[in-house]
Amino acid sequence: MTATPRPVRALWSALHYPALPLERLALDEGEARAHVVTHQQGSQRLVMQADARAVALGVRSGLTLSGARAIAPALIAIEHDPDTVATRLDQLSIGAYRYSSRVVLSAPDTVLIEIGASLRLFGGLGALLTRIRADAAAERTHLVIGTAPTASAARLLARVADERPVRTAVALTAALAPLPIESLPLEARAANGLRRSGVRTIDQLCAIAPASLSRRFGHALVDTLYRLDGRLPDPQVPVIVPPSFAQTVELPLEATSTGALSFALRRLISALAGFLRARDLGAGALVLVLRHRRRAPTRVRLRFTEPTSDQAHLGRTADERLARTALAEPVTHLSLESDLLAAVERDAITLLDAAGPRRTSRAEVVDALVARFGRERVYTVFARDEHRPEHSWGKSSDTAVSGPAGWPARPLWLLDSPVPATTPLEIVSVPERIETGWWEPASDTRRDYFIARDPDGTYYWVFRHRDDMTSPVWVHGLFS
Amino acid sequence: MTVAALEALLGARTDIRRGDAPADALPARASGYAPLDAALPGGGWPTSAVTELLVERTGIGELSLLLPTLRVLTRDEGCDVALVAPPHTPFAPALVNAGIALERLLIIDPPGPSDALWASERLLRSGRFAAVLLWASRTTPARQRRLQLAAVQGASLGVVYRPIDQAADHSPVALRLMLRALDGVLQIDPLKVRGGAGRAVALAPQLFDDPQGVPWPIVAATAPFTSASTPTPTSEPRARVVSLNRR
Repeated sequence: MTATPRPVRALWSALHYPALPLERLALDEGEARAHVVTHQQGSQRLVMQADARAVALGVRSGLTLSGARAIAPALIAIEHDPDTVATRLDQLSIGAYRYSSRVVLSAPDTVLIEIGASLRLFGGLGALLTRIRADAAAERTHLVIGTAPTASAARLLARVADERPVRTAVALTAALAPLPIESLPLEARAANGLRRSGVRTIDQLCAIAPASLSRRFGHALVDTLYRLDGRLPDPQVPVIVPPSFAQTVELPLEATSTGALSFALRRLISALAGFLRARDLGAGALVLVLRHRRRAPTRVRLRFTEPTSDQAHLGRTADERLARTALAEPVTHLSLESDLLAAVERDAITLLDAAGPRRTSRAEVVDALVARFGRERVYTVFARDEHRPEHSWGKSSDTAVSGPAGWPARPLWLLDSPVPATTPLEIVSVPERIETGWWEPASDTRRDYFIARDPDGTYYWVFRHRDDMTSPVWVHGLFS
Repeated sequence: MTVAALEALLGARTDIRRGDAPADALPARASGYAPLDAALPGGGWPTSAVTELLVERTGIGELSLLLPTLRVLTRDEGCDVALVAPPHTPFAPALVNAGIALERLLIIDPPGPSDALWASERLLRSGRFAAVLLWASRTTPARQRRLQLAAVQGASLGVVYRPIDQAADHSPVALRLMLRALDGVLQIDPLKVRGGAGRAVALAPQLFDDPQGVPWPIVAATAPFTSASTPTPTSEPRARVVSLNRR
């Protein structure tokens, strides 16, 4: 029996971010002041976008900045910066690869993703949209999602804030019908001409014969309509994912504690997770770069026990590491760069975070510990084929090292350095002579080791220097 | 309210312990020491719970007590185990002799006591470490409760070594045992046993495994010697010279 794959019907979601100029800055959670974004028009600075706190005070877009300041004196005004808004949209588009393998940028504020092929993986349309909304909320980014069988219809629905998903051609016609023609990307001449003809909505527009429309307004208008319902193909250029990851988030007010950075970090980690999924790679090492106003940037390197693409794991590890970092000076920009990328075994289950309690991996636990304590404090020990006790073991923080077996009596606890015995000890074993290392003058070890017991019944591993009968007894280990 | 209804109500509560009706013993795994297993209600160390061992001093056999468990977990079952904040370096050759698969052993050396508790909680909760041994110089009932909860969540065997002078402190863990050395015998007294009574046990040295590679007790004592100033003129026993080509 041959399995015929069910044809996947194309379905597009437009992720429309209406408040990017305001949200491009990673505002701290505790920030309580009102913010507006202004832009220069002639000699005036006009309010372009106002956040919820500013709106609550009565600030509206279109006001002059001085007018807004009269209403809300504590207002913080940020100059509109199209470049950083574009950077933020880039990050969002790379992050969108978490949900789909086809991501298209639609400047200045929308990302289009083809989700028809992702639905099964995420457990249906509802689950996928819920996931996308939850991720945006975690980054405190306003998001309107339009869903339709064609990319341009999805974008249109998102821009008019119609979030009801449209999955069939029939439903699409119905959804588009009442929309005003101004929501279409029309040339000014066509828009004016249609308005004069009394055409207000899209269904009125569609009622006019295409030939007549072409004659009056040119091919562009008809093409626009045909792309909406899919009669004309609408090729989209996917977002190109660079070979390595490097993104930066600007901090609104210079961050003086690492806690204030964790929100900015979340945005970077989301983009990183999309990057890793798009390239089918895992991060083996990352570098966090904390830029300061005057000093050289602080570079913090994160290493992972195994390359990983798991967003939660990446985020937790980076958070822990950042919390452990001392800030020499306030931070103005936070960057995240991939340092080591490696192929990773893709576990489809990790996509379905919500499906059930996810078991953490050993590597994930180890990374969290290393991130908090440093690599030198998390290790395993191994035995070496070497007689001198100090050299017969080693620490390993990476891979397991297999060592020799069959040692003579050895204590479970070895003291870091031998200490002279202070209590009377009773020898209970024959001596074990350990005399190697003579070729290393500095560590000439000629010792007789004994097992000794104190009056309380504790057993010690002690030695005396071989050639020196006056040598004190040194305790080197404890049996336990 | 009838007696039956009252019974049902009380029976549904897991936080009430009624003296005359022992609750079901916690699931446990054998410790490898038969007298100890016989003395504990579940027949060994409770899994998915924290056991506190209040130790008189380091070196009385408190680690040997866990070695058979660690050996079975790491070598036979292929599970990971962790030691958090051990008082000294665990000496790898002795661990090898005890049959522990070192690649399964993770040692964490946190900078402070609260870090050690954090690490232990994290390890227990992860469910990826079958046993977590913590040496805690100080802790609080609240922290111990968190560890106990983490052990339940992660279905992990937690052991917390504490100094014996904290024996009187309240602790919400499942099992508390006091370990003392009496005349070369490891005396184990139950302080708190959830799901049963528990009896005192004494483990003589020969009952111990052979963790450090020697049968205990070893060779009869030669003349006792004290440190430093008074070298003892022992008749030099025939030394076992360990050559470079050790067996």
